[in-house]
Amino acid sequence: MKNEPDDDFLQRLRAEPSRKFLSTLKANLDRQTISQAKARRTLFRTAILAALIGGSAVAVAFVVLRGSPAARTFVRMVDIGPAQSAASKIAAERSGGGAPKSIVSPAQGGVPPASVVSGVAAAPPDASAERSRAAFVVAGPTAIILNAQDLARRSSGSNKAAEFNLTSSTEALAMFCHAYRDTAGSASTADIAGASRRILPAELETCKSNGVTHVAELHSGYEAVVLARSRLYGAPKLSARDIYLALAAEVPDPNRPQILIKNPYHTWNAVDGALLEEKIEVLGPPLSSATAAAFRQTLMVAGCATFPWLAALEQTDPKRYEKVCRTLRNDGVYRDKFERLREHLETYPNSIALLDFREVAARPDTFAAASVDGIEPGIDSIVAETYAGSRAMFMYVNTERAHSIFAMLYFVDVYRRSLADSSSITVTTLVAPQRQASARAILAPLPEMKF
Amino acid sequence: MTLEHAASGRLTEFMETNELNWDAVYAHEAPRIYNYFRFRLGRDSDVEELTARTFERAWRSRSRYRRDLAGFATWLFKIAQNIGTDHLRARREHLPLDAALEVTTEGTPERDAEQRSNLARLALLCAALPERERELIALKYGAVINNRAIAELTGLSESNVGTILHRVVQTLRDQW
Repeated sequence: MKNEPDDDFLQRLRAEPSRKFLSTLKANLDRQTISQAKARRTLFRTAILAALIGGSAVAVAFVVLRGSPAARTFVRMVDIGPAQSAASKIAAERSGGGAPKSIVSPAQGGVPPASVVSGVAAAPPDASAERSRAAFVVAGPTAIILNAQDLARRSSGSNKAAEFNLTSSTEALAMFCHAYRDTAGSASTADIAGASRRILPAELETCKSNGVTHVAELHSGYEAVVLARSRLYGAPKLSARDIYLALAAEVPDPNRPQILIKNPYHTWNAVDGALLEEKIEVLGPPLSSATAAAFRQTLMVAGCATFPWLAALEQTDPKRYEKVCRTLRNDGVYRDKFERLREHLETYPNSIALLDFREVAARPDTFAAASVDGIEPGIDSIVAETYAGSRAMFMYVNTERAHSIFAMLYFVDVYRRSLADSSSITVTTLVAPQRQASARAILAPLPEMKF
Repeated sequence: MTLEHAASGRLTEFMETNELNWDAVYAHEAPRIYNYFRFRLGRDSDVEELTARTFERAWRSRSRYRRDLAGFATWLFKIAQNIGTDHLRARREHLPLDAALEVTTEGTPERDAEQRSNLARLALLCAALPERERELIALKYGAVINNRAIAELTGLSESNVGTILHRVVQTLRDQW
């Protein structure tokens, strides 16, 4: 018998586990199965009980509200928009206004041109007619706009009172300060601007010189996204640079760092030698989603900024910066997938999902969120703005306009109330600033900024 | 071909009215997982604990396992791979390259074979190999998985698996 490594020799090194070990382990597994079954039965009984109680409560509420005069009054009150005479007057003033263009590439599934996604354009046959009836204009980045649209729809049953324009923060603030012109030279204005940063002193000066002198700032919360894998496999530890190098369409050539090449990385250890040799596979929502947009704006940008010459492009060549720092690779490493996501992640330890922070926070038994540069995503790190996957969001309101347009004032009031109750924010990338604003502060008169 | 097919067509034996027969799965997979860890660690200590941990983790979530997404054995070995990696990383117990080279240079193979078991000697030689190659040896000879199934588990191509294994076995033979 040969005594040096070949197939037979190596296989003879195998050994049978002891019978005692096998039988003990099997008994433990059987006990585990029985206790799991008991837990499932208890959960099922609790769910049935909760459904019965919940159903009864809904039925009672329906009966009470249906016959209540107060309920009918409420419905009339929130039916805002076309009936307001001031709105019609203002809309007539707006009819010649152009629409801003999005700065996020549509090819990346980013936001299409603003006019396509505005709330009034939701009904294509009479889109122009709808726009002419809009009482006020809201402009801003994806999360702000999607959340504002949803709030308007849920509070009034319609969002036709407002026109919603998806733009970058800078464009939204320019529209707000009446300083925006599109490429055709047409001016566009906004009564409310959402932004992922605070307004700059220079922008406030522009507002003032253009007659926008009553401005209120609302802290709209934080946008937060995470990369997570199944709880079975523990939380990944990544850096923003790892994430950028793993998912950007183009990355610096490792041998000639000043030159960009098509992303060559397919395993995590190729990106960073300290990581495992595991295939890079990231599953997430479509690129047009608020989550993917937030991912590009936060984690991708943070990773890109670790290369100083790429970070400098933001000032010297914004278009190239946009393309290099915020464009995801499209070679299949990032894939749209949300069906059976949990099962997929449990099956494949290397699979990572891009998710909204709130979704992961609500299911700690399912997901393990990746720390980024040693910072774990959590309310504290998001509010402290130390977690790279989040950013603060702001909304600026022209209060002079708000006080002259009932629909706008009502919308702002609904929006402010939503900030005190995170459950009313449906865009899950947004985390309400509960730690920052009390309900009392939110319901106080709009505080105007000092010029 | 999935890992199940690779395991000598045993999958059909695991099926009972379209449900997996978990007892049969356990009886068949437990020795393979056990030996995977023996080869991965190069010794017998900790092997039982890691095998138990793998099955306990798999059993906890087996109600959520979907056969159409991955073969059960593939899923099980993914869990084992992860547990093994975490264990090795936590213990930082890989021998440095120097130690493995020392084994190849000091004394004669016969004397070393007398002093250590073949498995321990294999582990020492493997310590000088890259992580990926150690993993391939454990999957191929510990778990007795064919190249196609190993490719499925590691993300390498089947031909690449074959080439690497051939080269590694040749290296081990040269250094034995």
